Amino acid sequence: MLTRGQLTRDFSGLAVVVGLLLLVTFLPPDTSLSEVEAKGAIRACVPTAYPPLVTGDPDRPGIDIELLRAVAGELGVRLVIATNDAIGRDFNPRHWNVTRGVCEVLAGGVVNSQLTRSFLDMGPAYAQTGWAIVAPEPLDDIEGHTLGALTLISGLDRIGLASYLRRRNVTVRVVRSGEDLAAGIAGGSLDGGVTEALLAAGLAAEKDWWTAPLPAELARYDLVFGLWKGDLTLKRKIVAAFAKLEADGRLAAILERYGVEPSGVVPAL
Amino acid sequence: MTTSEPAIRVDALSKRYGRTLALDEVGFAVQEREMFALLGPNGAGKTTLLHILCTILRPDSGAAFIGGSDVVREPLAARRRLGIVFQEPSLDDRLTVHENLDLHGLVFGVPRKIRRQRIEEMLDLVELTGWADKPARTLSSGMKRRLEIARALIHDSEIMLLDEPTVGLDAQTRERIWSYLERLRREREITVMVTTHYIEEVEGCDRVCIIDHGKILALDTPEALKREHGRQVLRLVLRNESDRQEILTRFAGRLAGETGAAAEAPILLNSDDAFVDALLAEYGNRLRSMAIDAPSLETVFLSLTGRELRDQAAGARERTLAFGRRGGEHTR
Amino acid sequence: MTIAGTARKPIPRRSPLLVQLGGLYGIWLREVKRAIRDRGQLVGGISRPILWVLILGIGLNPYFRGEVYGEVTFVVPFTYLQFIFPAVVALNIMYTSVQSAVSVIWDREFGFLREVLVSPMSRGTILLGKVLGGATVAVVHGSLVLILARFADVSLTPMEVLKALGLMAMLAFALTSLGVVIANRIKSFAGFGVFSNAVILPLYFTSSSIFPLDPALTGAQTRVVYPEWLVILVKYNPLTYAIDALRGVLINYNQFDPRIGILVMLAAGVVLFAIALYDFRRV
Repeated sequence: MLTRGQLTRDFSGLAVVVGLLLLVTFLPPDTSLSEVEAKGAIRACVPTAYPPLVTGDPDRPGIDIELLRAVAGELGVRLVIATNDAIGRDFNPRHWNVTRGVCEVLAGGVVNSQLTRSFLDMGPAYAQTGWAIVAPEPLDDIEGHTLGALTLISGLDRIGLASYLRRRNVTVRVVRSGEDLAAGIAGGSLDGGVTEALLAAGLAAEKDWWTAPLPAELARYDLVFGLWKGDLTLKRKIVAAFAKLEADGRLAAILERYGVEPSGVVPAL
Repeated sequence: MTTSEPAIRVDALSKRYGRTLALDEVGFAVQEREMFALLGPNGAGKTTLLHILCTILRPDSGAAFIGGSDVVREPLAARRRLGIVFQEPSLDDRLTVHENLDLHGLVFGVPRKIRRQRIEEMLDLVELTGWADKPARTLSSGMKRRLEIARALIHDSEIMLLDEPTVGLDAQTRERIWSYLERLRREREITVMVTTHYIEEVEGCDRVCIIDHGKILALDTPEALKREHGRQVLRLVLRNESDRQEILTRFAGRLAGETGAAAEAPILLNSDDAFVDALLAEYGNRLRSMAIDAPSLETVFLSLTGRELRDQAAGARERTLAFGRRGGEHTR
Repeated sequence: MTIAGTARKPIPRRSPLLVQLGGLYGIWLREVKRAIRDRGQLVGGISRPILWVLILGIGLNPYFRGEVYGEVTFVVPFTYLQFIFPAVVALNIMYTSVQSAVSVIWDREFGFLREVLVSPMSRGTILLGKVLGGATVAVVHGSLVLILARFADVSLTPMEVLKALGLMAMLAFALTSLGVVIANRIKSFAGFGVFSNAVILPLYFTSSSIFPLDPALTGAQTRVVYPEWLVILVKYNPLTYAIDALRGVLINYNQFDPRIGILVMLAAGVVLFAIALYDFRRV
């Protein structure tokens, strides 16, 4: 027989403990958010151009730029874009010189992969990407073709792509930019190109070419914003901002404007 | 239980701890509904005997039966019949009175409905109903004892074994505990076996077994014991040492027990009225004090063991309690 | 004084299995109740996670956070807070398990054990009830740490929580059995501090709990960074694999095959319980 008084007494201690622990979770674990708020600005490192995420066109600045603006608006701070030429040019991200001192957010083609997670924390996913092929005419089989490879985006599995292409006896020409790739395909020196799916879709839409994702053995990834590890307070705020953008339809609207299917925000918390 | 089988039967039971023989071929039988007392000083072997009866100690030789069940071969059958109150307190301090009883009912397999009913009855019996929801640690030591008695009855035990149930309690509480035991035996028709070293307590028992150094010295009703072994004992303290020595040598045959070496230690002499008169006539003006103990179980014990059974109360229970007070619960 | 109703009535016999199960429940319930009423234990249950996660985790976090993209000393897909989080769950379980087990000494010393030893309960039932009770309390204390998941930036789905609870239960059972084995061997009543300093903390610190020794990602680094003896200590500490399995569920990071952890915990649970039972039968 357990009387109510006895039960209350027994569980009151436990309830106090649970309550205290819950209270603790509301303590800010770091200073990242307060720093951003003190400066009144959030800085984002992006590549110079990475359509459709970053275009450089003031009228259609790109998905990531528009999303960053919306998020900065939710945070009540200005957005400062720091463009970085090196991003995507160089395999080794260390040479990009992206540091905590330059920006709080890294955008314009960051995917959620083991490699990215080793260096960065990340915001919620808003779209999906992977390797895709683009060509003037549909290719039934890429076997034996000469393809241009544009690997601007960081975090996708380049090694997996390279070995896949090698197995299919594809002759690979590494290209430096979207323009080079388009010119190569249009000029006929390349049968087609392999690049990140959104970029491929943009190219295909622009030139009225054919595009298709590469087979499932090359994984698909979520597109995210890169955040510095340990900046938990800022991350929470950005996750909350994304949730709001998704709820009021602004996220879907931005993606639609660039012809990208929304993948649904996967809350990272 | 067949009517011919006694409630408790002990046959030539021996138990040795290293070199000490704690029990030496002890044998007796306790009849159903009997109130049986095991009387002896600390270390006499009472607790050893009890532990064998409640199946937690194996005898070296001999056998013991609880209601016909051998405690070594059929311990479970024996345990079901037994209600035990150990010398050391065995309540859970952090559980309430009710929870202590409920736990006992659970481990003894008493169905829930009966358990609830028994707990109520037993709390009523030992007058602790108002304390049901209090933690056991808030109880006084007398109340704890009462609770342990109640607990031993939850599973409808037929035979109660109590090891020094009144040690460390004040006189009033001791009396109360005995009145519960008496009432239990009458109303619930149970057999009660109690060990004690308080002689005055066993007067009300049906039979008393006096045990010392693992041997039974006498076993009979209190009256018979007094008749047989009880003597009038004279306690003398003399004014000077020479008189003391004179009496010690002159009446060596009458010495009723060991006499301490100190001059103030009383001399104990077996006596009768004629001897008292004669002694007073001769030594009357040289005495410091004199007392006459009428035949009692105290004098029975004295004449059987040559020792007095007093002031040996600092038993294990007190030591345990002191340990608890000193150390508290050292688990964190 | 009314005395009606105190006459003895025979109790209907129940099947022995039912009796054992009822007793098991009773002993289990006692352990849980005792723990819940022990405010000191609750204080430990809250202060440990707060100190380890909040103070240590936050304090060391700046040393482990990223400063330059592509440049960290150790390439690991978690923050320090996330890394120690599963270990703190294990730490809370350890303390509580061993604490419950130590009460075996108390029970023995203070006669409560005797009270159940003269009941129809088998020794196995008594011990199982005790170990299960201790393990239950330990899992509850481990779950207290899970409340801090949001704070440590560990995202948990209900499925992950269930898996974690399963692993925690296995760990708690093995550790409580270990505690009983040790307690049975201790003849005099030593304080809990002895256990804490001689068993819990050494096991904990050499279990890859507060720093990663990572053979998969930084195999070469491990031997460069840490001396061989430390690597060996960590490798032979069974708790390493238990914490690793827990880490796999909570932050999706494994240094070893997570099945090793489960295997180690199951084997330890069975073996330690068997030893405890063997000792207990001789009480």
